[in-house]
Amino acid sequence: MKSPDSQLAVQFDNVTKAFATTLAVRGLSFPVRKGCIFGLLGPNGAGKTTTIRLLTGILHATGGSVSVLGGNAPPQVRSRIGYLPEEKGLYKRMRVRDYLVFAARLKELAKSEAQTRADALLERFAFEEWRSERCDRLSKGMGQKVQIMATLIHEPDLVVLDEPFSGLDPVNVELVRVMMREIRDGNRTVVFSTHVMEQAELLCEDLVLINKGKTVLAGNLSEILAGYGNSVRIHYQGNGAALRDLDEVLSVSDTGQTAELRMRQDADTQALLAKLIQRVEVRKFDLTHLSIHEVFLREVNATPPTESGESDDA
Amino acid sequence: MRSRIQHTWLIAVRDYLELVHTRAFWIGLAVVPLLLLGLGLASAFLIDDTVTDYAVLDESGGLAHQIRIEIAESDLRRFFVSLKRTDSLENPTLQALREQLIQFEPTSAAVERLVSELAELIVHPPAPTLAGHATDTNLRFADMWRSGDRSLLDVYEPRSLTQYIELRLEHPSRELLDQLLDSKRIFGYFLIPHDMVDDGSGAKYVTRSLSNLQIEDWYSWHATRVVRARRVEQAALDPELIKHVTRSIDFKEHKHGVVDDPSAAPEAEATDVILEFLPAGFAYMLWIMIFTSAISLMTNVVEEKSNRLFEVILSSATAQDLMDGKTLAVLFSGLTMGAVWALFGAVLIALGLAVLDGETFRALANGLFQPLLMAQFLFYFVTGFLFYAALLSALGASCTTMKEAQALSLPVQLVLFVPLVLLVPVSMDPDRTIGVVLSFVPPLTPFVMMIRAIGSPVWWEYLATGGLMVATVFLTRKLCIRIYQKGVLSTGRPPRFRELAAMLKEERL
Repeated sequence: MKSPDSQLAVQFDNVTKAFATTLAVRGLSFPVRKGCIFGLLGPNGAGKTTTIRLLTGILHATGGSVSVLGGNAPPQVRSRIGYLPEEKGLYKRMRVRDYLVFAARLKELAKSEAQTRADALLERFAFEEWRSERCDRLSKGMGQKVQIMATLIHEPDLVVLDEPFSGLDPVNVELVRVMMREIRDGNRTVVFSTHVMEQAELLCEDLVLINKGKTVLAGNLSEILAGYGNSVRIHYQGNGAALRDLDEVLSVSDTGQTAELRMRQDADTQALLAKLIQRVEVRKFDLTHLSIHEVFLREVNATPPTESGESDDA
Repeated sequence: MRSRIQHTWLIAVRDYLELVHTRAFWIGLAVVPLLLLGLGLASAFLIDDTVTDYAVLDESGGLAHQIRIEIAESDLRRFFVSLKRTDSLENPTLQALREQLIQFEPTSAAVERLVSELAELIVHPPAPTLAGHATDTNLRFADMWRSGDRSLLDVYEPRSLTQYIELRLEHPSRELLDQLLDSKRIFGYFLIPHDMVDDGSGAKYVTRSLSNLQIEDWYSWHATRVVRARRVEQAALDPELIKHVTRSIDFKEHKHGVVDDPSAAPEAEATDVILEFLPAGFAYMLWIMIFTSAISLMTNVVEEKSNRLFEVILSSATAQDLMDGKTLAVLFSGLTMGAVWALFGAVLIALGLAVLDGETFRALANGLFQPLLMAQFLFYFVTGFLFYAALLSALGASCTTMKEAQALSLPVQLVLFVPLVLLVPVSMDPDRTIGVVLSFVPPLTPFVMMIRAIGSPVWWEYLATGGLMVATVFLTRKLCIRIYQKGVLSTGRPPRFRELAAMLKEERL
């Protein structure tokens, strides 16, 4: 099964995955371009983890096809995929360098090559001091760094990260972001799942939004947002109730001092600003696209209930 | 295929090194042989410590003396049998006595005369001037016997010297014996009434505790022989005729097939009996090794699952690689355990041979290191372990805590306990129908066939049961991987048996 499109790193084509009493993924289709950061978005229980397990070859699709890195079935290219699961574990009694070498050898690197790469990564991540430390003696953050190094040690063409920011402190969040951009800059592909929309908006170029195992949206982030029309983000002081009943506005997402107003296609921005000034004290007024958060809420809430079994995000 | 083998091997080596690098592994390894050694030493110590002192109050005017002679004669006959077998004697008196015995026929009148003479010298030592015609060898031997000389006890340990020791008193009385009893100087005393030969109903054994009546059986057996001889004499009956009439039938043990020429060694030696029990010992060791290894694998699987390790491994290797690798690691650690125990046993036997040079140690050395028995042990360990490992690792993978795993695996563990119950009945009669039938039940095959090695099953039984076992292991592992691959990724409550059955139907995850 070779893909005709060599520009694609991943292609999901009408993929379904059924467990005994559950249909976790139903007819999922989306492409992932080579050399981009791709977001797999969805609420809890949407089927993100199942999708990722299908992508990494841990699970096999019940129907449809998953092709990875040049049209291969995922199990055939395991050694070219790096995977950081949401539930991160380490062999407690193993030493850091030994663990990295073991992870590299599982990805079919020769022993000497694995050792060389482990040493290089330890240096790059400023981790040499702890190379002989047992994994159970590392702090949580340091343990996460080791897991990231183990994911990257074989220089994979496709890096799959399941909720990579969950539980990370700001320093490590930034470390992961930098790492993702570096991979992308090296013309390799990153697929990551998240339900934190701000992260997706900051990092993603393309995305797929799934809910209840189905594709809700898929494509380039900018194009998707442009399709939802303009919005206005204001910082204000006053009574938020005054933001309602404006002719130019379709919907309001008000958080107290900040509000996002989705505008009608033909709305006049200047007229809207004039009305707002009369009603509240406007401190900041930005004309922008709708945020991915707004899109997410809108699309997820619009997804009709499923006919059979609920996804458990298995 | 190459990468599958590589993954399995990597996982196996990693897990094995981690298993054998723990202090718990080596402590556990040392505990079993040390425990066995400790038990051996403790029982030896306890046996030495169970010397029972007794006294005799003789109102019959001489029967006690006759009973002492009878006891000494009985012990001497047994001693002579061992002495003739022992060819490395350093004590010149024992050497001389052995040379003398070798010239006699085993049950000849000459032996009986020697027994009587020595018994008399032991029980009633003559004054030096009255030694009469007793030879120097006989006098020296009697001295050695009375003093409980060590070189004599190395040949044989007579009960009257090591277990039941009479406290001989010059003027015994009931009062004195009761005092000795109260002061715990003696464990009990025998009262021989004046009419013991005519009636005997007044004979008594007075003791502090009725918990040990073996001494009473022992003493009354000898007393009965003396009294019976007196009664025969009083009735003027021919003692030889009575001896012939009352002679009991003694079936000598002889193992079929062990000795080709029955005339060469027609009777089973004591060492043969030890060898007979070796397969049962092997079966017990096999059970310990399979049980501990399979449970250790289940624990390991549950621990690593709760540490969230499997998902990242499964992105590089298949669930089959993971299960096989972990199983191999525990199999290797079990073999390490067996090898260390075998080495420990070999060192003990070598020490025993060097220090004690006993027949028993030689027999143990020959018996333990039989290539066929070792090969059987290895085959049954590997197949038995692989079978139970598949079941327990699949069930362990389906659980997130040890408590859940123990509950779910209870039926398998109960089956694992069945061989322990079968150990004694099957070893008593290894070729009985029940043993033969159970050896064809794969979960029990390794243990039952190991026990049945006592009876030397025919070749086709080895072949058929072995083939069935290998096929069962193959099939069990093929089915269990279906549960395992789903289990390692599952969360929440463990599956019910109905759900496990449903998992068996799905080949791919």
